[in-house]
Amino acid sequence: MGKSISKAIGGLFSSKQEEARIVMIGLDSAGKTTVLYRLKLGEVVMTTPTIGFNVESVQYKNVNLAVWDLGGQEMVRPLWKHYYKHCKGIILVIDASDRNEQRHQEIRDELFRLAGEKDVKNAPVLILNNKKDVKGSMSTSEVTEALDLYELQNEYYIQNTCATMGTGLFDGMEWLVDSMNLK
Amino acid sequence: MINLHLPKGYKLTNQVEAKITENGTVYCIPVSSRNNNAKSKKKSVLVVHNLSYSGWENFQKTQKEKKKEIKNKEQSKKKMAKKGNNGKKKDKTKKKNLILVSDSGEKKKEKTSESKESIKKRSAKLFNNGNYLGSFDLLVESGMINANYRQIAEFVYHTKNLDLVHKGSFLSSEDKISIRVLKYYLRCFDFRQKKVEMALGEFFRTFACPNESQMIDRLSQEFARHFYRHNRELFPSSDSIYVLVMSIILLNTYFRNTAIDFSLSKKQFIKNVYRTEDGKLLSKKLLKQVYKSIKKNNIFD
Repeated sequence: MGKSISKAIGGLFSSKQEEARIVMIGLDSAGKTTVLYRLKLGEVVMTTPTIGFNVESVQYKNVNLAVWDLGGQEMVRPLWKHYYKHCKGIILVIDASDRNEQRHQEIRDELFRLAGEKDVKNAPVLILNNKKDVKGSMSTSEVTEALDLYELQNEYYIQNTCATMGTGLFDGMEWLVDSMNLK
Repeated sequence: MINLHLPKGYKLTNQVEAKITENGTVYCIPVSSRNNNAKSKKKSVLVVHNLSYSGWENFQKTQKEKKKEIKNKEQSKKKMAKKGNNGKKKDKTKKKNLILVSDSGEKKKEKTSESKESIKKRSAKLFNNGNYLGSFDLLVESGMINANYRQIAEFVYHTKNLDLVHKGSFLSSEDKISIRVLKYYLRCFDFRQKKVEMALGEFFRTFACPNESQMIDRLSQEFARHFYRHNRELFPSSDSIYVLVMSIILLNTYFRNTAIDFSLSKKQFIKNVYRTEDGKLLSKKLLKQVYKSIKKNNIFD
């Protein structure tokens, strides 16, 4: 209840800018980069200006989101710890057309490891079921099953998307921004 | 094992061109001496290295099973990549078996060297269109390189007109062929007595680095392994270099990416590295020095 009231107030004073950091995870070729650029510009761009991790600041409503694509082997994960501290939400991009169980296990482990971090325990998880346009792709209930999402403590929402076309992305973002516990 | 596929009525001479596929089959292509055939079935020398692409192309046209072959080739390539080391070993034995190479006529050598440039250009074009395997196939088929990862890597390293974005996405791909080629690609670099950030810059400048974290991760890991090979005395392990490289890239993101309006302090940087098991083995002096040089200069420019 309290949340929805603060949301309403936030809507009234929309001139006030909010800042929020978001972590984006997902396996190779799930479409993270495409999602990021789609959110940023509404158009897919292929050039990469700086050497470094994918970061985009995305303006959505009155919230300025800094979306990071962080990843690496187990041993380098402590490097991002300071970043999690101010992290308000998680975006997980999965490839709906990929039914490989081993890969599901991989991404499930990554999600639960991240969600288990002290600082992100309350962050909402937006799951983008990407490449939904491909024939025979997974439905949202199949995704829930494959990733054991009923065991997830965090609030989550699965949104079907097709990042190359841009469909579904902004509906997902709307949910994420509304669910984030902003000051 | 080598299977020889000779067209009916042809004998093996040094005028016969041949193509070796990955599964060890040698296809022989008749060149000009159509009338000399059928009379003698004597064994003679097979010129393996003297291949011309056009000859192979003509041969291909006459093959009814052209399409099937291509499919088989792809499958065997995948198998080869899967087998990994085994596949490579087999490659070597194949080559040994094929030491049938004779001193061919000088004229022929001239002919192939003439077309070398155009073959290189064509394969570069294929590569720049994103058809990486097709590009390597062309090189192998034309005899410019052998079907091994080292020579593919050397081609990628030395060919100047390759598209940097494609180069980056090929080298950092999760594809098994890419992973192996990346290993040999790094061996083209000499990192002895170089600072980490300098060596990293040198490596990353040879292609357009993709930004997806997994791709950066693969490149960094392989870089660390090779850097460690050249600087064993200076670092405790390749893992510590990997941690350092990842934090350098993170640092560079903080300093150079305009989407971020906050920065990473020297203290936080060292704290970050020291949070990891392998990072603890690095000296603070080195980390301070690295921080300074990344802040001051864009090592990737």
